[in-house]
Amino acid sequence: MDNLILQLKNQIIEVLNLEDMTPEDIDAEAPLFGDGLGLDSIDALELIVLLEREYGIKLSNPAEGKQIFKSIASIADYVSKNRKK
Amino acid sequence: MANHCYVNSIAQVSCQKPLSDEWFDSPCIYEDKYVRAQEPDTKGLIVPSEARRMSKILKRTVCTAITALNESDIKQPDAIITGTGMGCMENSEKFLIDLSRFGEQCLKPTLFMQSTHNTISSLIAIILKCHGYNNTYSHKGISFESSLFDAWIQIKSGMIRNALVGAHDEVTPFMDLVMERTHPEYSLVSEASVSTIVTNTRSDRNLCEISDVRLLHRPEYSDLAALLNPEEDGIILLGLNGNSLNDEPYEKLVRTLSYNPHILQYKNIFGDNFSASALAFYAASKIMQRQEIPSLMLWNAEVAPDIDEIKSITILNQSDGTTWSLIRLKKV
Repeated sequence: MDNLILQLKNQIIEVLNLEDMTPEDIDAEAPLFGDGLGLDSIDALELIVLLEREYGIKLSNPAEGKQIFKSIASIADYVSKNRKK
Repeated sequence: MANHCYVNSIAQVSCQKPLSDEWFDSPCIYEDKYVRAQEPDTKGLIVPSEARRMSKILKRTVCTAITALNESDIKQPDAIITGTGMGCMENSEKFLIDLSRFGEQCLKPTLFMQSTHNTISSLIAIILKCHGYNNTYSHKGISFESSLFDAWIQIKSGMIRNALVGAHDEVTPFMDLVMERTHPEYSLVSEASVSTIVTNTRSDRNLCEISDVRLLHRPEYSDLAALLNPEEDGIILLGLNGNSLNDEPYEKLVRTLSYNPHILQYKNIFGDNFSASALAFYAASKIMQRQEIPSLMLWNAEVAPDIDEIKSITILNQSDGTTWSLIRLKKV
């Protein structure tokens, strides 16, 4: 799980152009939206595309998103259980 | 059209030092034929959280626009008018590569939103919260003049008091590769981002007055020559770039004139691209303000013309040898 969390942190830094950040700067348990990283709705769309491209996960139920994208740790948990590649 | 139209401020990002006039006294000289723009320091001009989503061309645009506004008498322009030949090219390339690799199902929203031509003008409007006239012209090598003509005619006729006019183009390595294959004679290819505030109000800050802007489609050389006279058009700034296909129309026009003007060039300093003529406008405005001509801009002459007072400069630009533009700047 630690490797997956590190991989996700690196992918999120790249996809969201968080140029000044390193994986160590991101707390895996901290909220991604609002407080914490302060991401917005466009970032949420970028994360959905990331999950589909890299892990073959299609989020068909938008209501799930809020829980899945709560933190890096929650994304890692969902990816580990649902990944298709 | 009784109103006057003045250049109140102007800022550039190019292969010369960005947001600076340093090129005037100590220009960067390049041996490579393709040079990317020097990136401006965005600190104090763009909020970091907003900058992360912007591509290079958008950062350059915001930096020149905010700098031009900061140096002007105007804080909220009546209009934002932008010219761009290719729009957000880097994002467009990335978007198309993603489209070919991942199909239509899995595309990044940011690239989709920021790959259109009018992203540039609308981004400035969003940042300034400007709800006025907003337009984008994409007419290859005369995109800037088309924007300036729109602003000029609206100011002259009293429809607006002022405008933020700009021209922005990026040249990606892929575009350079294509140009290298199709037009190998180019002397220097680079990128341009220029923003200027034009206004109807006389001010000590004004660099010069725009006394005429014309766009001409397939004119005869004699028609072009008839527009020029030795009193107003003694100094002419041309878009010569070392490519015979590009330079020949300019040389033909000069041969058609009944007098010998002082000829200046600028693409040897700033490079060529679809927004290069905005850099001609920038350079000419600075010459009018400083009342001196950098020696590198002289064409077929080694010493600057012996002129006590530079009263006017005429910028002539042509795109594909078919569409011509004339911008006449006068001392204020």
